[in-house]
Amino acid sequence: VSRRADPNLINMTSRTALAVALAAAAVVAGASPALAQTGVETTTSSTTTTEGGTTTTVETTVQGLPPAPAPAEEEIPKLDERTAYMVGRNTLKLGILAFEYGILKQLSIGSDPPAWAARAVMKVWIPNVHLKYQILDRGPIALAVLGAVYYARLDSRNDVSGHLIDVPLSLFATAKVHSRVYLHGEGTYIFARVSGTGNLTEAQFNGGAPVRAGQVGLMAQFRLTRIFSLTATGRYQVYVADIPFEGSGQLDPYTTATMSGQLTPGVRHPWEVIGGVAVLWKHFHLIAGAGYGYYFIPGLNVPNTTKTFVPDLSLSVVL
Amino acid sequence: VKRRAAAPLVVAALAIGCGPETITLPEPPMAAETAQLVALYDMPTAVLDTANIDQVRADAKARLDELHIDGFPGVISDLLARLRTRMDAGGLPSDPTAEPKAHRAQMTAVANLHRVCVGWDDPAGPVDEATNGALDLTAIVDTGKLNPEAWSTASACRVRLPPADAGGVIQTLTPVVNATLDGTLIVYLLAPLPATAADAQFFVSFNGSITIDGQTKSASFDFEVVNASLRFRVPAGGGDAIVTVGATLGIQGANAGFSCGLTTLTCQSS
Repeated sequence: VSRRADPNLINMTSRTALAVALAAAAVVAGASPALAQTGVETTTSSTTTTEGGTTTTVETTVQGLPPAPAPAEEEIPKLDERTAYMVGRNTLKLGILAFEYGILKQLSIGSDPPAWAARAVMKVWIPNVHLKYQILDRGPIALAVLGAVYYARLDSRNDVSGHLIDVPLSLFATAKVHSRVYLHGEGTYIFARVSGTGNLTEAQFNGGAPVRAGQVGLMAQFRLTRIFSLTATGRYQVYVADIPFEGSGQLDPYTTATMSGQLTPGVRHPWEVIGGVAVLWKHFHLIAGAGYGYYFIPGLNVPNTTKTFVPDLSLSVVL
Repeated sequence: VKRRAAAPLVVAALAIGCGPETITLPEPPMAAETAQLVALYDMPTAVLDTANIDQVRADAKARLDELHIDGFPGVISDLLARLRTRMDAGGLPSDPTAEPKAHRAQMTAVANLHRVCVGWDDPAGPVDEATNGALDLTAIVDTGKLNPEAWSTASACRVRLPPADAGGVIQTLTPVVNATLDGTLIVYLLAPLPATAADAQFFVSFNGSITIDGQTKSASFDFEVVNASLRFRVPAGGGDAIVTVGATLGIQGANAGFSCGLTTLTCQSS
């Protein structure tokens, strides 16, 4: 038995049903690409109502909203000192061991404050600059090269002058061997050349002198949290050669002095081992440690000539 | 384009990597003989007595008059003081008895001094090597240690004996002469290189020729300067006596020493 439907009611329910249907269609149409990607669940239900002999069926399609995207995982800060990682494009890093600016993602330029500060104990200024270029960053492996130039003008008393150029060239290789474990390897060859015969002792640090040398280093980094890591570092000088020098000067109108010779390192195979921590906040990096061996001046890589306590401290602000 | 860019880098790398070759130190000439002579000055071998001492005194005086040995120390002291200046400027050692510090970077070096002789003018005239000749001195540092022996070649070197600026550090018994030296001087340091002539202590042996007043003589002699006193060697009594020049001539043998007056021409046992 059917009753004749009230025209007003029909109109009202029809409008309601149309509105719901349009709304649902609009949601489906607008979100369809997302839905297609996210597999959003769609639920369709129908409701039948009989009132006053009029039966109205309303079919409702409800689609759940796409799940909220998971919050992006914050990038894990990377240790960029003595590793194959870079400081980053347009990033300025001001630290006690290095000033670094990322020109590109793969290229940075910088200078080492310790070499400048060495004036306090070495009697000479050592202006320096370095470039670091990342040649590979694929998967767990990264490779970078770093070339630096250090210059020192030696004493010029009595018309005797000399210039020291020290050029360390380094290859850094970093391997992420586990989600929390990194191995940072380093191979460095140091060219050093003296022109003239100034007072070479002025370019020595506690008996250590710039020499031609090959050094290798390895740092193991165990990341305990996103920003906090434990580190273990070792460095060893595998090869060393004497630095020849030659030059002449006028002592007085009657006397000319000519000097030729070579500088021989006091210790041929210095080494150091250091244990420490690295705390890498977004804008502040702290690396601290302590060890034993022959202290290598950071950057210049000139080793001390006696075994001693080896401190390791690097503070830097990343802007 | 890459090759063009790489070329300067290669050249730069070679320029940095290449330099003077590893140095080979020259051997000091007559090192063993020099060491023996130095030892002889501390242990004279002449047997002296009253019978031969007058002859020894006369021989010593004749040697001074002939070769003007007492004028030489100023020439050598001056050369050594300039060598000291150079060694200091280069951070090189100046004391042959000083041992280099262990575990330190060490220098091995050859130092050459070329000094144009000042000539016979007083004060010295302008630098004129063609007229006045030159002295070439060589000293070596072996692994941070200064070799006590240095050697020099005199080439037609015109000097006043004693030099005008010797300052009277060494007492001289002979008048000033103009001499021309040709030969080899071996210098053995008995103390650090001198900062001034008064500090100099060394042994010298000379082999070559000396021209004085137009007369050229072959000469071979040696002497020592210790504590501002000149000592030289005179063959006597089957060995060598050592004569010290001062207010008197001191003559020391293996068995005895004598002091001889310069004017009285007499010697007394000392």
